Amino acid sequence: MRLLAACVEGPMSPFCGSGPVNGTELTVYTAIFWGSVALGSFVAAMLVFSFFRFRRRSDDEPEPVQVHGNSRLELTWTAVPFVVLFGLFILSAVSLFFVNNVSASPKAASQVQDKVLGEQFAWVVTYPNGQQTVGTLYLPVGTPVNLSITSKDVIHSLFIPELLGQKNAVPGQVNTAWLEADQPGVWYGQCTELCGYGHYSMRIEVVALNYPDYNACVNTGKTIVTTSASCTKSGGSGS
Amino acid sequence: MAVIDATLPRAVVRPRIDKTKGVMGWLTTVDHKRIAIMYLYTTVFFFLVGGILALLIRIQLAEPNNSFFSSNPVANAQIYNQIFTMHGTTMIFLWIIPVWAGFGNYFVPLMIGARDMAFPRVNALSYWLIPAGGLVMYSGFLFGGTGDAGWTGYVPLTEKLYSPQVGQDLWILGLHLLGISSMLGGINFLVTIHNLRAPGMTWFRLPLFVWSMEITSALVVLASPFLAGALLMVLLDRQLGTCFFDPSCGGNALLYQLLFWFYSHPAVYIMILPSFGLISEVIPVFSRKPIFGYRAMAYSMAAIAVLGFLVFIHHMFMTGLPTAVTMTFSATSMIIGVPTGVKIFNWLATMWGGSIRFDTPMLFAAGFLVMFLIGGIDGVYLGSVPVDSILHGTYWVVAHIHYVLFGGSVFGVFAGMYYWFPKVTGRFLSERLGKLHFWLMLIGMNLAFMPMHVLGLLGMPRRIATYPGGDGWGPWNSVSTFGAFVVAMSITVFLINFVVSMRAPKTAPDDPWEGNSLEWATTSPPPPHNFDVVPEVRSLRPVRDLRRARRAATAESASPA
Repeated sequence: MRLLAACVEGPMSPFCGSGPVNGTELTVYTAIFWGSVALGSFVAAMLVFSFFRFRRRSDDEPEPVQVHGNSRLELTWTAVPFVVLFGLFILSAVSLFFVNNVSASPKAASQVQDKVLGEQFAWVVTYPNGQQTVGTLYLPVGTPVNLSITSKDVIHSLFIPELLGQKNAVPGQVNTAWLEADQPGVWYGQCTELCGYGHYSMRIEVVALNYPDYNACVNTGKTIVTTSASCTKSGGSGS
Repeated sequence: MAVIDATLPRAVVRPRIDKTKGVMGWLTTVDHKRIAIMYLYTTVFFFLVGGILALLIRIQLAEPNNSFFSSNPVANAQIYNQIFTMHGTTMIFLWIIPVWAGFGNYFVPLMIGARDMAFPRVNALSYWLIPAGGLVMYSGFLFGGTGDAGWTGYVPLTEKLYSPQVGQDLWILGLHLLGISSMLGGINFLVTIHNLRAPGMTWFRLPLFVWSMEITSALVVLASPFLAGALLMVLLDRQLGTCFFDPSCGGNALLYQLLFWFYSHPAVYIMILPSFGLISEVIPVFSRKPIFGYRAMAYSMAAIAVLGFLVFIHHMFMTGLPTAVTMTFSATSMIIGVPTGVKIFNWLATMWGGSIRFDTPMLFAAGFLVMFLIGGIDGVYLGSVPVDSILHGTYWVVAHIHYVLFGGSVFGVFAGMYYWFPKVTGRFLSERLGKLHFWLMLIGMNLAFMPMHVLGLLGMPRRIATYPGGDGWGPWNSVSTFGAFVVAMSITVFLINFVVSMRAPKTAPDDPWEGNSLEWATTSPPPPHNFDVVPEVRSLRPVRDLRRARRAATAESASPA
């Protein structure tokens, strides 16, 4: 897995993420990855083998043996993929309950509740004490943060691949999603649902801070409008 | 009282011979073969237009912070959004869906031994709605910009407040015309296949391409009204101030997505099932074996069609639907992999032990198998909700749809082009240029679309007009752009091949590939009435039966008494 991760490391790659939600998503990804590599390369190898092995040769009979089917074989290749896919589905379904619901976290009791509003073309975060930041989301390290996400205008999608995955911001509806950072750092997110001409620029910076720094940052009572966080002096280096 | 002569052939539809010559002959024709040829020219034209739009997209994305369309970033993004919207809409609604209607028009009547489609005039109408729809949609460029909300046209983005340009209305009206064309065509195919089959052509002797058109048409007739309804509601919201989708006056923004995907997920199968059918014709012919598990192949297409209506929520996994709902549709999305797997294994088994000749049609079929395999497996990732959470809306999805629709549907279309060209024109396409076309297209598509998997895993969202340099996306985008130009070269080779071959003499015999189905029993090209005598069908491979009978007769007369 490390090998694959090495080739796709970047500031927005889920392989460089942090926290339990990202970990769960990567576990399912890894299972599907190896399942599909095994099944896919087997079938691809058989296909390519048959292209070469059964090429027409000059000494071929005008017609090879005419085989019309084989029920037992066909049953096998119906049943085997079914079992594999069903197994992957069970793993997905179990993980989904964890990913979708902050109360599945063992630390749910200490959760922080933030509100995220998507608008053309920025993310506005409102913290429990009423302070707002635009373009930045501050997190306390090691604490689950539950986001109530909605939109002021069109549909957006809050995509933070390294911590959250994503959830749509839909006008007239509040969706929830949660994330938790294991260590201090800076991560990035972007809108993944086309929302107009500024769609490409609708980014968000996610800054995880230890509690003293976090408290200092979100207790100023001022609305911070920035895309390069002014509170990151102790944010450390992102992974 | 008239006595019915039982020895006469039973087919009754009187052939419609076009008496008008020249251009007027084409403009007024109701002959299914001529209509089909017009379908093919029109759709290939739109394929080229959509391809040029794809190149423009790839030029803009080739490097970070690019501003290919305008130095003003807002104008640059606005033009970019129109271009990828028109690229997607064109490729889906003006190329892949109607190109199969074109092939179906030509070959369904021939394959079932009929003289024409059931409703020839309706058939002409379904064709003429295609260029009309295309023109209406593209005319937006003349009135301040086309639709720019993506081929999915999600609300509220398409509401008047956010997309005020008249081009968005024209986009909706154009799609309406194309939807009506599809539905009329679908009804026509269903009636034709149900009522005009030759004597002996029972359901389980139908060529699998005809099965695929039957199932596709059923999907079209059942699903398209939902698209029409959803688009009409958007139009009413925009023009008459109704409030279906705007939450600020009591509408629901997600209602559109439910209606849209109830059409558009089955539409994915409308685009790929005919390709399955065509591949199921090509592989047996070039392997010299019958299709392995014929009934399983027909049933699995039907299963895919039924399941295709039960997976559409997977496009909405991130919209905040309850966990139980997303989980249910995750299950169906994974299960639909089973009948698809059955088809791939059965194609493999058809080739197994065969005697495979790699003429260009078979090369494209082989390319289809491997590329579609990759695209299909990509789909499993997206069917798992936790994994979809990190892949949804990223370039991974763009990779997936292009492996399925380009590696699958378009490779299938080109397999069909090379396979049926001799029948339609009486000429062969050059094998040498055909093979060059194939290899360039295979290499080009993998260069263009494989890096998109990596871009998705690097977190690059789809539909962004440009991107900053720090995310490591630049190099992969450059490779992808290079690949797009290789694909463009391959299509150029195809066009050259077409022009050169059309100037060559008509050398194609009636049955150049030793085919199985009835289109090979008539002349190349077929006469206006298709068959002098409709052959009687006694098995799944009537033309092979005829060939064997002829060979046996020759051998008998040659041997000394």
